Amino acid sequence: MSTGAGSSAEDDPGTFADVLNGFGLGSGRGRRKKVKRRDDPGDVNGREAPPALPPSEAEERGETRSGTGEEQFVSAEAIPFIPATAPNPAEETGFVRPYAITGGRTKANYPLELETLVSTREAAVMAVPDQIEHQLIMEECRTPRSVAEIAAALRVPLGVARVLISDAADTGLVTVHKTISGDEGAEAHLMLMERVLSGLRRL
Amino acid sequence: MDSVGFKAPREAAPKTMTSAKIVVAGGFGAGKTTFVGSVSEIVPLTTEAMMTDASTGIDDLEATPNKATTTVAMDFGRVSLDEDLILYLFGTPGQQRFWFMWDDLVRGAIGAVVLADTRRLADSFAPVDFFEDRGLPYIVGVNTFDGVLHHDLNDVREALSIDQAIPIVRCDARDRESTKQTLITLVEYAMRQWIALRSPTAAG
Repeated sequence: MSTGAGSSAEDDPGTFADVLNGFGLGSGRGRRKKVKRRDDPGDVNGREAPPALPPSEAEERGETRSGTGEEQFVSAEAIPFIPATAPNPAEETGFVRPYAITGGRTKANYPLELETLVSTREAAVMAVPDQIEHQLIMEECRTPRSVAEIAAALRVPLGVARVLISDAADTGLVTVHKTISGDEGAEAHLMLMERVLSGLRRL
Repeated sequence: MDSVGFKAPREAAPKTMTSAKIVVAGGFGAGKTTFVGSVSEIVPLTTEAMMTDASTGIDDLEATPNKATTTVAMDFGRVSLDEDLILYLFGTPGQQRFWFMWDDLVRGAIGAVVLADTRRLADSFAPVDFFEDRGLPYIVGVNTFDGVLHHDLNDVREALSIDQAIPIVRCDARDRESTKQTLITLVEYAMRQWIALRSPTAAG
């Protein structure tokens, strides 16, 4: 996540202090710090995690930011962000809503079952996609991997993984292999069972 | 079939890969993760490994005092059966609040193994009902944790009130060979079922 915060900080035309915060802490956390300093007496819920920086250093940053007082007031309005991110500090992706990665989309363009196999296309091996998740999918799928494995590797919910894989397939980075399901083609399903049976016997 | 013994470099040919899925169900602490892990070539993956406070009152640790944690999401393992064939074993989430995932799990599956813990046989009712409702072939594996079968398999069948045709086997979830045999029994049964259900067309 810190990588993501760093790269987004590069893109954003934010202040220098914002960039620093982006590197040092999660962007959400940076926002919370600001809020706390502004409303110090009002912050009674004690939810604030101990800052990663010693107070003196934080003071320094406060000095740096005093040049952009206008923005601070804007940040102070952002209190509603806190309850959304606070409940489970142990969760690694707690600061980003899962479907934020997909731009809120929940539908995949391919029938992606749990066991559907995905592999990186040979033609795309050298490609470096913009989205870090697509890079991870490509790395993961150098040998064929199932949708469930990809979701586990990326530590995202299954539905999010499906959209990400669908996008990666749309842009030609990965191939989605056909999944034999019981409904279509009874013959194919029976053949699959036969192959699984002989495979198990060979184990 | 046509490429037996041919070892191509991994990235070379865009060959067709096939995957299959078997569901492993059972109550909390029945040994699903152990069963999957005994035959999987990877350490079973799971989306979330720790039991959270939210499951207090849902999970019942009384009969399995030695078990401190449980998987609250589904866990799964992988078995490569051939160059181009991978079998995935999916353990069902133990808690009722994850039942929405069961539809994903059973879609396209070959069949299911219901692991039964005879100390808590009632835990097997729900998976059995679910698979019967969905018409998914299943067998019952009576997990013998300490190598001892405490109940007669016929008694288990009667207690679960399941059809005579459905195989009930004893298994040791920790033992790879036992797990393998259980899976073989399931696939054989699933194939018999498949053919029986489609007998008019199966001749072709």
